[in-house]
Amino acid sequence: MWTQFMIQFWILLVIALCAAVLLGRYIGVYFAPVAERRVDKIGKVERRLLLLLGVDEKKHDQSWVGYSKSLLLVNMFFFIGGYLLLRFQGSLPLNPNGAVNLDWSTALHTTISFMTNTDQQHYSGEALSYLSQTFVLGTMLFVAPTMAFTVCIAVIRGLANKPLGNFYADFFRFIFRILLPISFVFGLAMILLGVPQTFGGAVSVTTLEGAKQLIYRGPVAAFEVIKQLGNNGGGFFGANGAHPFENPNQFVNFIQMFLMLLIPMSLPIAYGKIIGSAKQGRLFLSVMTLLFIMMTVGMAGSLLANPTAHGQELRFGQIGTALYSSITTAAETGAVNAMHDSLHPLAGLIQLGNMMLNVVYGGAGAGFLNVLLYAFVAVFLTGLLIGRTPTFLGKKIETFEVKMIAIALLVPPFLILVGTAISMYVAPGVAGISNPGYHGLSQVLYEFTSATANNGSGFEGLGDANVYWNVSTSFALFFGRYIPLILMLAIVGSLKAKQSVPQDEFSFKTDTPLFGTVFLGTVVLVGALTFLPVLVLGPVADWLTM
Amino acid sequence: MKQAIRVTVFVTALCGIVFPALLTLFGQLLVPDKAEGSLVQENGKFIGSELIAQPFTSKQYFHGRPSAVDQLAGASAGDNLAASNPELGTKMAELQKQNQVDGASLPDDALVTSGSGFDPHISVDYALVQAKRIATARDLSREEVRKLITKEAETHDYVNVLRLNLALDRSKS
Repeated sequence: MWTQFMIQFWILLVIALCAAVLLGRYIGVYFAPVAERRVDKIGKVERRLLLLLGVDEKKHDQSWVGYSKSLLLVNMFFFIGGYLLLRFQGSLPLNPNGAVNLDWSTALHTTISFMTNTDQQHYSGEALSYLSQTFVLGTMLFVAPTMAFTVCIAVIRGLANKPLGNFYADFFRFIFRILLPISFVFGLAMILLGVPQTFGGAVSVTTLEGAKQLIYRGPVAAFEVIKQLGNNGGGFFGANGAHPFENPNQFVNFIQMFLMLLIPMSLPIAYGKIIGSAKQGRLFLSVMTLLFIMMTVGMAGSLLANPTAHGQELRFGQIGTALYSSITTAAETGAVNAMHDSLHPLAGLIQLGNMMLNVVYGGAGAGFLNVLLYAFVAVFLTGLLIGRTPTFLGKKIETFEVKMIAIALLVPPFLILVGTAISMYVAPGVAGISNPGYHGLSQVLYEFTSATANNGSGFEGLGDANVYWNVSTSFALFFGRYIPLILMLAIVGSLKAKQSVPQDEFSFKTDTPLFGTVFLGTVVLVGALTFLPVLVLGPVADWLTM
Repeated sequence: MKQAIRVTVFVTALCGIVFPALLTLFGQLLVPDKAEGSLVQENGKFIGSELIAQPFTSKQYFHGRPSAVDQLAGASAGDNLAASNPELGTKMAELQKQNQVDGASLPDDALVTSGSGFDPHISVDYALVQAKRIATARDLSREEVRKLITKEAETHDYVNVLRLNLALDRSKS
């Protein structure tokens, strides 16, 4: 079993890494600052389309405030449009199964959840119309990861001391050049491998024993492919990737895991290319990969040592389940091919750990922003230790930056721990818990961790389809997403305004194995220590008392 | 503001309309059966989907895995009981008592619910446990039933219940 696991794991890892390096270089070339960018045929088409939309790519020097404003404006349109369409889906077209309007809190939670790239779902996919699934949520599956990508690429350009870019151009070009083509190819592959793609409604069949069975179908493949590629993770059906239509066999399972890893793995390479130090990009990718291997082997350990089919699907086996549930939490996708609530407590511990660190690749864009955040912290801590002014890529990290870094670091634990604490205290929170003992705390903790880290998977036994959970997790979703994004732009805006310090042999190098080690230590110490007590009370106690 | 509105509308049209429409078109042209949900026809009537479990309760058919949902109604879910929840053990003991053959303990997948509630497979072990009941009910030899199971399982350690039951029906006639 272990040999088989290792073989499958390494094949997946090597294929994903190779593809990610290629994609990373491609992003590095075509998303470089305008002045250095190669313009190919697609580039000319893009430029023309953008001009038609009134966007002049040559105006590429938005300030961090301007970039943030444009980003928030576009988000606002999607929020309002999405909320209204979900509220009134019952009276809109493409509704063969007769789905009814969502109530206000479910529509609010769903809109925020999909726009923040989380896709935490407090409804069951079967309750939505095809219009809501493809037009509303399907569009958001493209838009949400792009938001984090644009910020990430602007931050990288800023660190390279170049203009941040033009938000509208970045937003459009990432969808047009990267997301749509890859989605089309793999979407088609998924259909060929058995994932449905039809606008026909649920079909009623007569079973062999003569009963009437209702089979829900839909345009699943279009949803499925971008859900994985964009690290979204929402299910077309209630059971998400465990549902045989979403994930019919091991080949599709493999494609899904590959797609989840692709963009998060490629960004450190793109970073290296744009700042002009491939070595530093590779260093970050290596540290992330090291953490990922440790987490995934841990996950396999917990499942292979306690094999069961409970909450799992036979076609994936223990290995397919272990890999998928580690990757989905590492890359902050949130798709599940087994019910996480029913897995071994130590599997839950790894899942929570992946989401709390949020740098074991992390979601598209958002994950790499967290890596940069930890890199700033590592530089600052080292600076304190050796008594020198901390610099990162020749820019001094001073009071303003450290303040912003501290806020960005403290927001997630605050949302997770305070949210969990309140929910363990108030009646509607406690009422949601469905499993007794320590596992009950894990359920609540998982819900808030998943919301804040913009993952979206859940310990689904939690009775979360009500106003209390919709509203409380909406806060975690919203602030867990936008505060770090805006703060990172602010930090880079401030760094960019400073004079570069000339690099000499005494400068602190951020592309050496030594810095890699310091960086890893920072991630583990700063990221993990905050959560250790609550992890002991939840999954660890659950395991010890089994 | 104008830019924001235009870009929003254009991107929505591209991702929300053009992309799913193109994919549907190609899917329906290339593999219509799969794109429609891998539905199975017998005598011109749809009898189920190869990918979706349907409930079997009679003696002459292989039974699927326990499910947390009503498989006839269509919505999917797991039972979400924690591994540490005592209710899980109680339920497993109940199923063991109901379905055991000759007092032997049943394989794991016969006792616990699947992730989706629609797992179309059972383990080969669980199929073999049921072979005796089916052989008696259908007046077949146990060896014939076993052969069918191995044939349907191919190289896997699990079998598709609907296909296996269809094969049973065909072998009789």
